[in-house]
This record gives sequence, C-alpha cells and structure tokens, in this order.
Amino acid sequence: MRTLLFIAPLLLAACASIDGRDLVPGQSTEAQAVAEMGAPSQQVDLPGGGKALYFSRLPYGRAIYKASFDAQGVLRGVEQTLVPEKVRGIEAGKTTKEQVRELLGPPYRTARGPIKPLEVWEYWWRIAEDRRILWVSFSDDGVAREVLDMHDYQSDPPSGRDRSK
Amino acid sequence: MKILLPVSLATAVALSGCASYDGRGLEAGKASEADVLRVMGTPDDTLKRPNGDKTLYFSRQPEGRQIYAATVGADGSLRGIDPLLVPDNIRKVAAGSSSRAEVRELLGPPSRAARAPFKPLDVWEYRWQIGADRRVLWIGFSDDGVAREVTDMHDFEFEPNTGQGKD
Repeated sequence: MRTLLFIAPLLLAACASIDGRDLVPGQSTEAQAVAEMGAPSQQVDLPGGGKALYFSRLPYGRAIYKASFDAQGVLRGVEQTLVPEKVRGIEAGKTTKEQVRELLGPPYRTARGPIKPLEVWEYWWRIAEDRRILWVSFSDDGVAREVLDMHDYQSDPPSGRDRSK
Repeated sequence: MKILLPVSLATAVALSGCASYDGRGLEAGKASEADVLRVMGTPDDTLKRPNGDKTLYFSRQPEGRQIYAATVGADGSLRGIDPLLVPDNIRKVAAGSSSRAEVRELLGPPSRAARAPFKPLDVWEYRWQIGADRRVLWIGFSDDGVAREVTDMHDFEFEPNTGQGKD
C-alpha cells in the first residue's frame, strides 16, 4: 500500500507535461489542457469570445506557456511567451500592465518602492543557455516606465568578464 | 530672556537676507571661497580637480529641485556658479557607461539613495524641473558602479496625474 501511494503521484506526473506538447490544436479542449498542464496561473479573455490560459513555470522553469482557445473552447495553439520577440515588444512610456499580462503572462513576483513610486514585475527567462531576468516597472497609471533585461548574475555569476557589456 | 527671542528671530531673518539660494550677488573673479561659503552655506560635497580648481556643491534638494556647483580656482577666487540639474547634463547620463563618480561630478550628490527591490541596483534620486514641469530622475547603478537604468519622468508624487498618459 505504501509503495502504491508513493508511485501514484509519479504515474500522474507522467501524464502531465510542462509545455503541453501532447495537446492538439483544433482538437484538444480546455479541460484537456488543464488536465495536461495543471491549474492555469492566469486567464485572459480574447476578442471574439475566445480565451487564453497561462501556465507559468516560473521561477526555475524560466518559461510561461500560453494556450489559446476559440469561442467554442477548442485549442488554437500553445506558445511560450518568454521569448526575445515578445520581451522586446515592451516599450517604456507606452505599454500597459494589461498588455504585458496578455503578452507574457503573470510575473513571478512584484514589489514596490522604496524610492520610486513604481510597481516592479519580475520574470525569469532565458535565451538558450543565457539565464536572464526581466523587470518591468509601472507607474500608478498602469504605464510601463522602465524595462530592464539582464543576465541573471545571481543564478549564474560571472566567471570572468562582465558579459552584460 | 523673553525679549531676547524676538531679537534673535530678527537676527536670523537679517542673516538669511544675506544668504542666497543660487549664489546671486557673487561675482566671478572677485568673490573668494569664503564669500561663497558665507552666501551659499555649507557645501554638501567638495571635489578637487587635477588643475587645482575646487568645485563646491550646494544642494537645494529635495524641495529646491536644483543643485549649484561653485568652482573656485587655485588662487582662491570664484570662477563661476552653475545649476547642474539641467536637461543638457541629465542627457549626458548614459545607461551602460556612466559611472557613479561621473554622475556625482556631473549632477552633484543625490537627494536620496536606496537599494532597488529585486534588481541588484542602487538607485539615486534627483528632483528637478523644466519650467513648470516638476520631474524626478532616477539612476540605477549595478554593483560595479556603472549606471544601468536612467529614468526621468514627471513627478507624480509631487503633482498627481489629472489626465491620461501625462508623462
């Protein structure tokens, strides 16, 4: 009995997937996506009646998967949001909190202050082997004011030269 | 003793009448370092330059939104007084290249400094203004002393947003 209890979660875990690779666009349902990927970290309604579910693997997974569904609840596709093209799309002075939430998904963590009246959102991501951290800071009107993306020195300290230069 | 109080108040007012916020009245080539100190108060920072000049920084932060630099020559006479928190200077601060020492020389001492949340940066704050637009400048330095983040925006804390997207 003990052995069974121990094995059961492993068996369940074997069915689940981190990136939803077993889901089929045009076929899989929302229920199947949740069964496969776990409880979503965020949900956003899409224009046209569809919705997007975000499955965050932050911090250590350094990825967020966005599964989009049409109005009938059928999967359109799954994409990883923490990629250079999307990160570069965030513009200081322009992009809003809602846009960042839709573009990337929920941040790993947020904080405020002490000096700046800004709310900082943190995303851990990577470009191939380069582990990075993205911080987006919003003023109280919800507009991004600072976008800083740099190598994650805490997780991968510099061995020689400063690679951010 | 009670009579003394109004007298000392009057003295204080009279003395402050001599002091000047921006060093007005001090003449380059004529005023001495002692004159500068008498008129502008105690400097918040002093920088000795290789050519023998000395720059005295007088911060009027945070309410004053300005920092003045009085440069005194090796002969002890005033060369000039400059306001530092001006667009031309602020534009010189470059993320990825300006150092802590360069910023301190260019703008003077910050009104306050603190460690940023999450980011491995020390943030320096300067409050300044362009005309009637009150602004805040933040410079974030990584631990190697290089500026990584330069943010200049309208001072919403001082003057809350009334409309939309006011930058």
